[in-house]
Amino acid sequence: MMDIRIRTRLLVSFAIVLALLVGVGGYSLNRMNLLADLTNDLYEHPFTVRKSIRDAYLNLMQMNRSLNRMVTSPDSTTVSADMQAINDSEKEFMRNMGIVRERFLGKQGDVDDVIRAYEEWKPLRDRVIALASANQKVKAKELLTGVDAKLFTALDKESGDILTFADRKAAEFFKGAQSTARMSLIITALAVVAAAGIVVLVAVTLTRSIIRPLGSAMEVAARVADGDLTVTVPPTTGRDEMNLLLQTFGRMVESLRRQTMDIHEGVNVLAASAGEILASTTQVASSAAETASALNETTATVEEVKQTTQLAAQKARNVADTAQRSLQVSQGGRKAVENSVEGMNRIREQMATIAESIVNLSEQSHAIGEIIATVNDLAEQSNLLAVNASIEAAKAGEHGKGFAVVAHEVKSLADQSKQATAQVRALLNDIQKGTNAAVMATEQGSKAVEAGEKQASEAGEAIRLLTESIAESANASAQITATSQQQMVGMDQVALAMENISEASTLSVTSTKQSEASAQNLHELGQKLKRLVEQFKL
Amino acid sequence: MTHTPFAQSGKTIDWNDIHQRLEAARVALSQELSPEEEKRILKTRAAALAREPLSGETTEGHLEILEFLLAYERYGIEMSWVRETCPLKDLTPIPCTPAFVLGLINVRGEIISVIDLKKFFDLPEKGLTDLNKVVIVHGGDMTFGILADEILGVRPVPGETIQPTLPTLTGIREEYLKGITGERTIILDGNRILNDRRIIVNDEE
Repeated sequence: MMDIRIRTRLLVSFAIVLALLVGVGGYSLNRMNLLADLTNDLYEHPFTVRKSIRDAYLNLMQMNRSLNRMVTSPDSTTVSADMQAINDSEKEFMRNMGIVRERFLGKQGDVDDVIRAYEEWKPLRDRVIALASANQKVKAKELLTGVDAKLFTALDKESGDILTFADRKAAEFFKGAQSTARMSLIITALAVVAAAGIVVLVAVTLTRSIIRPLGSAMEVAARVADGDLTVTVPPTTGRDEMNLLLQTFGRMVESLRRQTMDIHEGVNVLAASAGEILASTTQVASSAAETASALNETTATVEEVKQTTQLAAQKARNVADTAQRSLQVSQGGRKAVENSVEGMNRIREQMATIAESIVNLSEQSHAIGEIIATVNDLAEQSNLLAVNASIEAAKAGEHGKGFAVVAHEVKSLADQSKQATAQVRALLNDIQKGTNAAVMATEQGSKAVEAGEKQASEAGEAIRLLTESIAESANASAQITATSQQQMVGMDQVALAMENISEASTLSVTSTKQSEASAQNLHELGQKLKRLVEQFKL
Repeated sequence: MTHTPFAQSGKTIDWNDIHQRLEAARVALSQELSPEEEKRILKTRAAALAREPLSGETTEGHLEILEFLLAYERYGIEMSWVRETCPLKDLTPIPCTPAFVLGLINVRGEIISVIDLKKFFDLPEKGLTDLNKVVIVHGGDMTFGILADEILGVRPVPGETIQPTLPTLTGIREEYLKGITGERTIILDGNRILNDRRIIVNDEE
């Protein structure tokens, strides 16, 4: 049993069930077919015969009524219509009788009797019709009454036989059908019970053979599902699918355990690595943020430096212009100093002339002083003379009075002369002092002019050096201007590059943040995996 | 000479001003007195001369004195004692004489001794003075020269203005002073000076 494949088992079981089903079903169908035949016979023979007899009888009645109307009606116009109705009823009668003849299971003579009765009645009828057409209605009426009674009596007798036979036959058929149905019912019930028992047996056997190894597999699977990989599958030796499944399951659990152990190790490594990655990513992210901020500052600084450089370039241009102007000014200054040196030379010469003139004046005033001394001496003498004259006049007494006046006058003149000479002498003294001062001033002026000349020369030399320096400065400032122009261009490029770097750094910060989030996710995943793996018992 | 050009360094020299001033000086120097001016001066002088002398000048109350300066002080002496004045020159010092005798001078052939009143009066020396004038006085048989710094002239002095000598003036000077005027001119007593025995140098004494 255990070595048979489940498919085979299932096929066999279903074949048994199918055979039982077909057997029971076929038998039931057979019996039902039989019943249907019986019912059909019942319908086709007794029932149809009875119905056709009735119809035929009804047709005869219709013919009779039409004849009656034809006979009784005073109007002869309806004769043709009644003739027509009689013909139709006749045809119908004949058709029904045909059916009866065909279906009737009893003796055919009974049917022939009916038809013969009709055939006998038919000439009478035609005579009635002819009388009615000839408008001899009273006669027709009399004839008809006699004919009818004879006809219907015969007909009632013949058709009654047929009907009786048909009724008997119908009862026979019904009884047969009833017995057949009861028989088939009993047999079918028995067959169904037997089939059910067989099916139950087969199902129980099949189920047990499948369920038992499946149960142990399910037990193992449940423990595996709970994470217990220490479970061992009981060893089996069978060759069917379930045992193979169990063996495979055991191998699967074994390999699952190995893999889970590998995964456990791997997950441990992964979790640790994810933690390290997260840490380093966080560090990288913070570094990137710092770098970004530093880059922002650097960018701002570079911008400021750029502006400073522009300012410096502008200043350098200004300086270059200023240096150029300074060069021109210093060259002008050099010429001016040379002119001033020449002017100083001329001034020195003039100073010498002035000094000489002043000395001459001094000498002349000295001469004037000598003359004045002489004049003063003369005045002194005049004074004394005047005094003596006064004395003499006083001695002369009254006679000398006029003389005394003259003497007084002379004395006053002498005094005036003396005062004048004193004034002149004072003036001469002033002149002398003035000339001395002038000479000294001239000397000082001359020295000052010499010093000025020397200073002017020195200034000239200084200005010459200054001019050279300024020329060098002008060259240097021109170079500085060019350099600062280049620097400005360079700073522009640097600023642009810094802008790009800053953008890149911003992107980098964003991506590092994403990386950090990813690392975080990875870390969480690692932890989760670790937890998951730790759920397994190894 | 406050307008030296070099003393005014820093200021611009106003050459126009200087030229104008030089021109003015030249004009002033070369200017001769016009005849009208000359006549005007002479007229003024004549008017001054023709003025009547001060009242009482010739009256007896007045004293004609010769005024002279000696050691910054004004001295006066009566004209009656004055013979003449002359400049001091060719003074011959005489040895073995008192300090107030300076020496001898020759005035037109006459030998006259010269004395220094400062020394004679024991006045303190107040610096050097000119001492180049001699007032020759004489009285009786006595004639000598008094050394003076300067002869101021002759002028009358009203007698009532002469006051007695100040009580502060003591010593030998007091003896030879006649009085002092309102203008603080010291009037010498010629009579006493000329007749003083101390002034006579006697070898035999």
